Amino acid sequence: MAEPVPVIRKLEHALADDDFAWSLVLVGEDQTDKLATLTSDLRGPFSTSGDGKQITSGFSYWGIGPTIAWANATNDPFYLVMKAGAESFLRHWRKLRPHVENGGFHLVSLGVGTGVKDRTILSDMRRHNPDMYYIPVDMSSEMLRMGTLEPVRGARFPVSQVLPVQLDFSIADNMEELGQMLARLVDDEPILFALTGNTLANFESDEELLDTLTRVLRPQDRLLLEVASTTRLDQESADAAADEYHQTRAFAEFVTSTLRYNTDLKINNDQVKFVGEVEDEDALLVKIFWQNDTGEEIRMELPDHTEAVLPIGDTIRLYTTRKYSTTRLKRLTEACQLTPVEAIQSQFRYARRPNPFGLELLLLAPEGAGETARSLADDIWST
Amino acid sequence: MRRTVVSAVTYGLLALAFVLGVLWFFWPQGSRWEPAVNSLTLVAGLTGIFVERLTAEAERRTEVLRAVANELHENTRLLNDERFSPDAPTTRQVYPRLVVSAVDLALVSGALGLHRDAELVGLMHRWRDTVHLFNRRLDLTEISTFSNTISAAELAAFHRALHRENSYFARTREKLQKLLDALPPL
Repeated sequence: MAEPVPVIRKLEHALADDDFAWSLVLVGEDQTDKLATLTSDLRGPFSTSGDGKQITSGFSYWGIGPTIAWANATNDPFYLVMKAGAESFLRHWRKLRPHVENGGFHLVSLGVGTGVKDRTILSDMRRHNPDMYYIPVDMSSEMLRMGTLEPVRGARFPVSQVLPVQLDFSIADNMEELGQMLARLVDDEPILFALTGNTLANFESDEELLDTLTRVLRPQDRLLLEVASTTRLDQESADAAADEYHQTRAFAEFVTSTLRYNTDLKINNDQVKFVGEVEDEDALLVKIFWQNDTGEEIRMELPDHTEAVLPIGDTIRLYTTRKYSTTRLKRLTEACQLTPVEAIQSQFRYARRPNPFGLELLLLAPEGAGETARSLADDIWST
Repeated sequence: MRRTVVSAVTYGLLALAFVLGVLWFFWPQGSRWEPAVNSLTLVAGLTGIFVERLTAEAERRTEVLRAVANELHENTRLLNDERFSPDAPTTRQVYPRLVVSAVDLALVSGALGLHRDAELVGLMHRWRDTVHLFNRRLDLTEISTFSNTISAAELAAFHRALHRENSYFARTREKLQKLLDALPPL
């Protein structure tokens, strides 16, 4: 009797030439666990500074409501940072790509976003390695579906070489499992992990996240890291950084969308505070939180149909972001034992006055990969 | 070698003319003494012109090569300067520059033989390029290290880069030694 053929082997042929909008996602986590985490985070202690109740990174994009709000924010012409970021990424990537074009790299995109940056990377890398795989990883299946459209339709990347993975990569165990699965999938071929769009800055502990990611890097792998940068570290700059996000209505809609989608809280955009501060004297931290300034206690229904009490002045952290100084980036990479292969930085040019803010794109190698950091001095004195 | 042969011939002819002159003095009856002595003196005079020219060329070549050797020894001293020392403090400083004026002069003087010194001329051309690129790197290092924004770590990086095993500094040292070894003994 013939052995039964696994459905996954037949799937490629079954989906070939089917014009229905199927999308394939490998789900790595039980989604009820995620809902429980979100509920538990919203039950945090009382805080007037956004450090009690919170929506952690990843949940900001979780579900179709936040995904649509994110798509609207990225298309908002008043969201200048987003526009400038897309342009600078292209310039920075062109300078970095010689390091990863050859060698047969596969791309693992952590936090897929709009997929525009992945499209740029994939169209360049595929020219040298047509057999490469594209593995977008995100906690939100809706983001995965939306984000992979851009490379697949825009850059004509073959669907048969795309494997979207729904997984919260900020959890160390998840990342370890993902690393093992990827190693079985590509054997010894190198992988380029991409964490673009200042995603690192959205996590409560950026060092912990970077360390989690570094642990899965094999010597032949590389990490492409894009972060927002600042050349000044004072309260004035921190306020300016907060204002940058305050300027667009679409962004405010996006940061509140998770709360609107998962609770019954009535949100007035005036209750959303954008607060900037200098963090550890080497970065600017921007906390965006909702605050109960109605003058009376509010009862909020949570996803599990229980209620949380929001006393007067209580806050819910909606979004965290940072702007990094060179010192902080150096501290982070050294702490995680990463070696910068190349780092390109540029300032934003849309403002009339000199702007301390910009973006930095770094290509990092794990320590022991044989890559050594090349400084200006090495460039001058090398033969 | 050529100069030695021509000199020997010249002095030989003059000596022979002298001996014939002495014999002519004691036995003046011989009618063929005069043309023999005159002819030998005339030929010695002609070869003497070549001797003089070859000697002048050799002296010029020696002078040029001596100047090049002095310049190369001076460059060796400059490369051993304490500012280039691996133990030098990692502070910003103005470095001494290598010189190539004697090498430049040697290359344009025409004092070096076309075939005889072909290899040496090639080495001098390469040394000249090396010195220009080395001095340019020193310019860039100074411009970078004297900027306001340089940190102590970046200054240390310059110090490290300069003293790496395969740095341009080490390569310049090797080329200088190679050229010194290729210089003929003076």
